[in-house]
Amino acid sequence: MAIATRQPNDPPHGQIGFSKPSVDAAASFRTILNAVARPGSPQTVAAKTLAAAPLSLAATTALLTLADADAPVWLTPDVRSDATDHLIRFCVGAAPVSHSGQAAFVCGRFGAIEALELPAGSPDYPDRSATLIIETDGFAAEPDALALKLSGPGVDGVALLHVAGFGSAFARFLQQNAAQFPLGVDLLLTHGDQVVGLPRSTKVEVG
Amino acid sequence: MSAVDDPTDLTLGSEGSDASVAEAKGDEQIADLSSDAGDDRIDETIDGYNFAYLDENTKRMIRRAILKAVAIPGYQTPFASREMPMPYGWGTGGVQVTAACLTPGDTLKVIDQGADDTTNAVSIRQFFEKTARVDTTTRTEDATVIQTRHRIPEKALTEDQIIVYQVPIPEPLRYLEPRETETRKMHALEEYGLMHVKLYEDISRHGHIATTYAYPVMVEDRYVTDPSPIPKFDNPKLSNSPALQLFGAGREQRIYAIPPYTKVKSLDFEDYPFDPGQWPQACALCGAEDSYLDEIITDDAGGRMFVCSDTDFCSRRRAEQDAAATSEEGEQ
Repeated sequence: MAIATRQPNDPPHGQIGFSKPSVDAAASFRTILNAVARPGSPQTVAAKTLAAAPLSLAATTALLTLADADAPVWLTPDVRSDATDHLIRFCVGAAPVSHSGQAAFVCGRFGAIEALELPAGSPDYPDRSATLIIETDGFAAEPDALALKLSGPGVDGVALLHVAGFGSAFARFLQQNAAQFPLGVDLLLTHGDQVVGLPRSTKVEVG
Repeated sequence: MSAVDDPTDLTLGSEGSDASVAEAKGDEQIADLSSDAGDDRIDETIDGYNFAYLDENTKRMIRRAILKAVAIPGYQTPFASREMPMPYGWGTGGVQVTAACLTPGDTLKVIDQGADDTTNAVSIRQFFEKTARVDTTTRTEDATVIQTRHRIPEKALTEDQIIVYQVPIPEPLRYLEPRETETRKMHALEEYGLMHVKLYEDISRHGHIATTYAYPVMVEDRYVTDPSPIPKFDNPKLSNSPALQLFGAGREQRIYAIPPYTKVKSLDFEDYPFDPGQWPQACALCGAEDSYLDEIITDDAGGRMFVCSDTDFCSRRRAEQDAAATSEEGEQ
């Protein structure tokens, strides 16, 4: 892929990225840490950057906060654009990878991620696994949203999470992931400025 | 890392207002950038140093390790520990974890064996006052991040707090099996028989489990974990804590975590259940009967007293008692 040259009508890519990298990344990390430490509770990221369309602000912020040259990013084809190209290559500076199995962060819609080969760690090093940043249609308790009952570390008793845009295949994916513990991938679900953590330690039931 | 060096550039110009990238709320998001609570603080950190001392690449690496550690409770995640401006054994691991977690709005408390006023606690507190310009406190409930060496505060922690432990030897099996390749395999296979043999030998030799600090725990029924050299008295506080617990070992290059509301069980046997221990006496200063006590030698003739190790807990109890006594006198 050649580096895209700017056209006059291109989006303002210059506004993607943290203006104060140190403190913006610190605040964003705390939001994400809270999300992972308390699975199922939507956390709101502060707007420190412009979203790299079609990615949400939360997904853009997560990549800016966590990915870099040592942590390659793989975007599913449906979320690739000039803006995300600018985000990954220029702002994040992540090494391009040709295969999802080499990525530390895999980002996109669930439909495109489901079938991928993903690093799930090894028994000796379960931490050497991918983190999935999955775009959703929101976390409101609507009737057609997938309702999940979560339990495990970080959850006081049982937490109820609604995820719009997914069917039971997503719940099965989560259950299979949790069944591999301590292997597995960790998920950040994103929508707009909201992020929900679903680490591999979280047990999932369809509620 | 940043696409824009000059924050004043970050207003949407005519070029950007119709951009497809800017969603409906994009304009508000950009407007928000100017009103950042941490703005004036960051300008005050000492010249030539990044916020919270570490460079951004290092912090990202530590942050990724912390997230994996939280996702696999009790598992020791390797990280590329940096040299810090303090010797190993003085909390280099804890300092790096704290630096990766701090935001300008945080209030930091640092304790060493429960005390806010010992050398290690004072120097780490001053380190972050200088490099991150965060507020510091000695009051447990006012802190959002607590870095600790070898104690958990007496006052119950809350959901809004993170406690960071300084860890010398993160591997609970290290004194039983010196080879890292072997202990790693033992964790992978959940092969913890050796640890139970050690506890059994304690019983056969001493009549009870004689381990009194760094008492091994089982986290969420999977990983045997070293809770750092906290007294076993503090072990019950590890389990089902509302606060996030992070552990950093600088020399050994490991980070591990116990997320909130996680089951943590101190290893024991059915016929020799875990006993957190207790004292026959109360604190000599504040009279507390439920706190962890330190022995203080008072003279050369064998004189000694037992006082709370948590200085914040003890001094505020005494202040309350003094205030109550004063108001009683006033009424008479």
